[in-house]
Amino acid sequence: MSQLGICANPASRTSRKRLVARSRAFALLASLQVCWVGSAVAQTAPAAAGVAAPQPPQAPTLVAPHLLDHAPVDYPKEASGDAVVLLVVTVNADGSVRDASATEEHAPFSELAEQQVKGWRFEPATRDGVPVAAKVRLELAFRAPVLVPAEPIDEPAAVTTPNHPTTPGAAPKPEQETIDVTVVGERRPPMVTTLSRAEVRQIPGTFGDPFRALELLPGVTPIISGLPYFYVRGAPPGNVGYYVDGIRVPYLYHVAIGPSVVHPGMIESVDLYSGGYPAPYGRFAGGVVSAQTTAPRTTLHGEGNVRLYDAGAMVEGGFANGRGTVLLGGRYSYTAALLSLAVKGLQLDYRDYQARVTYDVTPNDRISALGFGAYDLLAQEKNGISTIGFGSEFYRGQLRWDHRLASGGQVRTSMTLGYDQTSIGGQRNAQDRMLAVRSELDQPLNSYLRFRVGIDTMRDGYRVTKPVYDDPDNPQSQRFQDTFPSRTDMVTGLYSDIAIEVQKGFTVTPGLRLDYYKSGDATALGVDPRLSARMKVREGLAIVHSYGIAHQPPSFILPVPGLALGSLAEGLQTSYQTSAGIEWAALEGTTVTANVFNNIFQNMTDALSIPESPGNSISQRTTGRAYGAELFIHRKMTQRIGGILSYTLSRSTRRLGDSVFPAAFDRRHVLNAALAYNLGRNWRAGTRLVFYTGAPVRSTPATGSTSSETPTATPTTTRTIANPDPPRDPAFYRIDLRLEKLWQYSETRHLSFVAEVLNATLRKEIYNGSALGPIFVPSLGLEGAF
Amino acid sequence: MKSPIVGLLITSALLTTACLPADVRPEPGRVVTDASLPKELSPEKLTFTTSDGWSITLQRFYVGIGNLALSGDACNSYADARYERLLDLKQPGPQHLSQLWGLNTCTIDFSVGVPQKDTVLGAGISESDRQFMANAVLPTTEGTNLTTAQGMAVQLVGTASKAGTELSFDWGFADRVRLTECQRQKDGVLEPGLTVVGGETLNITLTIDPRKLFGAIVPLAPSASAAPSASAKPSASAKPSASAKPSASGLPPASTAPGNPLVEAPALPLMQWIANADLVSGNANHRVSVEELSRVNVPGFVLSLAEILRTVSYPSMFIYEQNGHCTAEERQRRGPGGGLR
Repeated sequence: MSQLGICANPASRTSRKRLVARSRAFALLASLQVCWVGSAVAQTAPAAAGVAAPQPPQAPTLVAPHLLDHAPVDYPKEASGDAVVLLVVTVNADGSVRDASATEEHAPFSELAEQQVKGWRFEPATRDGVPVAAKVRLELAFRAPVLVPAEPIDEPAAVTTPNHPTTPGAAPKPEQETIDVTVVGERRPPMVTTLSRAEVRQIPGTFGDPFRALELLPGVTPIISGLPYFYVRGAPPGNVGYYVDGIRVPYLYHVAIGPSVVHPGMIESVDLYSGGYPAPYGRFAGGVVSAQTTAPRTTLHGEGNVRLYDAGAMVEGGFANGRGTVLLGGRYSYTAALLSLAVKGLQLDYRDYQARVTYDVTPNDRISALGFGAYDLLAQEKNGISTIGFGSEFYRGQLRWDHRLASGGQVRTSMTLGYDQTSIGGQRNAQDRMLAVRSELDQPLNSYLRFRVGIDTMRDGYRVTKPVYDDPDNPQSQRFQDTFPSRTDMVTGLYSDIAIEVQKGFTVTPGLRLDYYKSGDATALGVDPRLSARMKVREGLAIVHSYGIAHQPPSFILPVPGLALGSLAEGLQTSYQTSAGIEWAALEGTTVTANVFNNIFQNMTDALSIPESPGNSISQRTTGRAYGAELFIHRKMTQRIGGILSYTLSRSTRRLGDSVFPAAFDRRHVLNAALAYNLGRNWRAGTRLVFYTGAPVRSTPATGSTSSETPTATPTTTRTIANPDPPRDPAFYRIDLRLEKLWQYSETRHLSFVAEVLNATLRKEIYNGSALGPIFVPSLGLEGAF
Repeated sequence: MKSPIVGLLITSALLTTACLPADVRPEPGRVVTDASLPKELSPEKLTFTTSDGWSITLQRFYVGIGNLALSGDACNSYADARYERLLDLKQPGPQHLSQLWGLNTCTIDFSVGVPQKDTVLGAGISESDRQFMANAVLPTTEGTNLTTAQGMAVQLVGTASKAGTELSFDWGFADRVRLTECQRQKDGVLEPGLTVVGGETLNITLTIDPRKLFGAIVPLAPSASAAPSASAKPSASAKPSASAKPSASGLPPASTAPGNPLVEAPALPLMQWIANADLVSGNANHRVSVEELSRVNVPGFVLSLAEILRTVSYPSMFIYEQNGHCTAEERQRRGPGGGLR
């Protein structure tokens, strides 16, 4: 009778104890001890996942992954004797095995164990009930084969070979032992900054929105306090792409400054790629914001919140005996009623929804349908007539098939439909009907190589209507039509990268992305090589590099649904992105990241930075440069004392003709400091300081030039279009506060009261010489989950 | 399998729902606007006589005008015309400006400004004319200082003659002037505004009267001694009395309330002062320059003659209908000074 044991390594536990003893959060991890004992048949064996006592969110409830099914592990043909292999297995949030590596080489057992465990499947680990990726240590004991009677057909690890008529595979230890579980994030590529939703909840001024926390990250330069649009390493907002589960979305925030357009409960984490991003990301020259939705969960759960200005809810559950899940969520704002009390006739309305259905057709095939959308409307009623000032909406629907290959790889194929619309001034509509198809293979080749290749194509049908009531001679109307023409854009991309573990702790990932663009009659080809590397210098310290070229079609100042510049004939925007830095696990639970970067921009449509001048327009092209240094010190906000310190020192310039001048929001110093503290008795408080220096004051000096005394003569003009060293607005700071009281009723049920305020000090910001605000956002709300 | 199908149907239904409301506003009325010289002036000759006896002939009279909008608390504006046209006022008029859409009772706003790249060219205007107007650098005044400004909203080139004396001038004005809340005047009373009715068309004419440039309206009538003789030298010590002091902005007094009788202040003739700026206190080359105008003070004003022309006389050339009334707002100046060349 062969048996398979999955056991913890006592030595590894000892080493971990040194770490866990230092914080309560990690003390919790120490309690997450899971053990299986039983036959290897035992997908049916009790997978007794340890369950911690109910804890407040700041001390997340962690549940270890446990094995669902697995292929038998053969005894190596040329091997002899017994062996024990300790593996560190990374289990994805969907239960598949992302990686398995032996802690020590013990050929041929370790190679075989790594290879075969990658085909196993787990019930994923959960944090606060939400599936997360996790690492688990597995010990596989190989016993030399002995002649035994034939095993039942469903008995695993029983292999008949010529030399070993029946041989057991990896044999278990008979005694009960435990497993250490460490919940981990994705193995991120270099130069990506990730914030989880659980952590973002604790950051004052974000209102629990993962997307709003982006401004906290290094390299991010705010435009105006409270306005969630930003420059990323010198690239304007229009050059930053937004993705939700790989689906491009036109904007992230309701009415530009409101909450995010996707319910936070559906967002697991948000990544910011400031440059040199992985090959699957393209078509944006400045940066990429990528949100990952939570993994589907079969257990019924949900959450909701009621705040001063909106209410939202999300619920998810399983069907078909756990093979499928359904999620529904949404949010509705009742600010219209509140605002109408304050401002007569003003109507502000926003809402969003999310829906997701997944179904596991086979253990290796999952079909998912994901839909979400958002709606914003700003209107003014006057004399009984309501006029839309600005309205926008977008909807996305994606059908996706995930197929796990026997080789351990995964293929994802998806088709996405989208509809964007913006209404301007009540009568001009801009629309985009999008169709995107994508297929990607992610295939580990061996322990040292991981290969990824994909192809995607996207069609955008832009249609801009002419106003019904207009002056036919109005050049602005014509210019609008010329700038945003009705047309069909197509882009097809092919990308690939390969992660090469050159040696232990040193990974290089070269990649290439090719995009062929077509807009009307214009075509362009973007060739985007990428290269990133992470080299471990010693335990806890790594050097990271990231380089890349990124192309993007012409872009509008801000991402607006249905509005895209139609000037591809003037070429693609290009950025050359370089950065290097270190990642240091300085202290327990605290990481330090320091980077320097240098980005060169060519052919950019950064209209915000172009001085106002009669000859300039929003599609005017510039070149530019941004360089600087970033520091990010991060201790998880979910810990008893958590904090973030983010500082960016940068310089961003633009060149137009012979003039070199600062970019529109070239802020030299940007500092964010957030602190969250567990006060005890389920009270938690947080504060955050935001500080940045002033942006250049925009001016339109007109100097030089001479005019002829002859009226009909055409003068020659040399105009200094911008001041290379303009005066700057004064620096700005604000303080945000957050206070939360939690009532925990059970492991998964809780209710919390959250009071939060952005700009508690009511500071006014000076922009272009004029005082703004104070922009002050208070929030009181109740949040609950089950 | 019912649940996923229901879920997919819900998803599909949500995806196919486009929610932004359609434009369901009632049908608006149309307001068609044009610009013209006063009926008394002929565009071909463009000659007139000032109240102090000078005969003025304009060889060139270019105006950048537009940015028309419907406004007012009772007004529903559907579509403004936020662009300018560059007009040659020596072309036969009236010349079309723009069309607006709205409903209910509206006043009109418009502005005079330096031509932009997208300025629509009127009859007789070439692109090189527009570039010249946009790029010309003007000597101008900033208080008591002479400086420069770029671009001309209005250019007048002409001659002035009286009793055998002939002067020439070539002036450009750079200031953008916004004229708002324009209302018709009927029998000395301002009407509340245009009544724009859905489905109907109204025609409005803006009058551009160059004669206003050679006179200045002061809030209170200056003393008779303020009228200069041909030989009179402007007195540097001539200070306006408190009672004759114009408004702080130098612009005409604010409009009266609709429905009240308009008080027409008499215009102080300026041409003789202008002539004297060259002939008496200037270099007597029979060409009146800004520098010469900036050295002359007119009794009744705290401003120099150059500043009076720029801030008082120049905005008064633009009249809503024949005798309507607007509130003049001096808008952002182009360059450091605004300008009169």
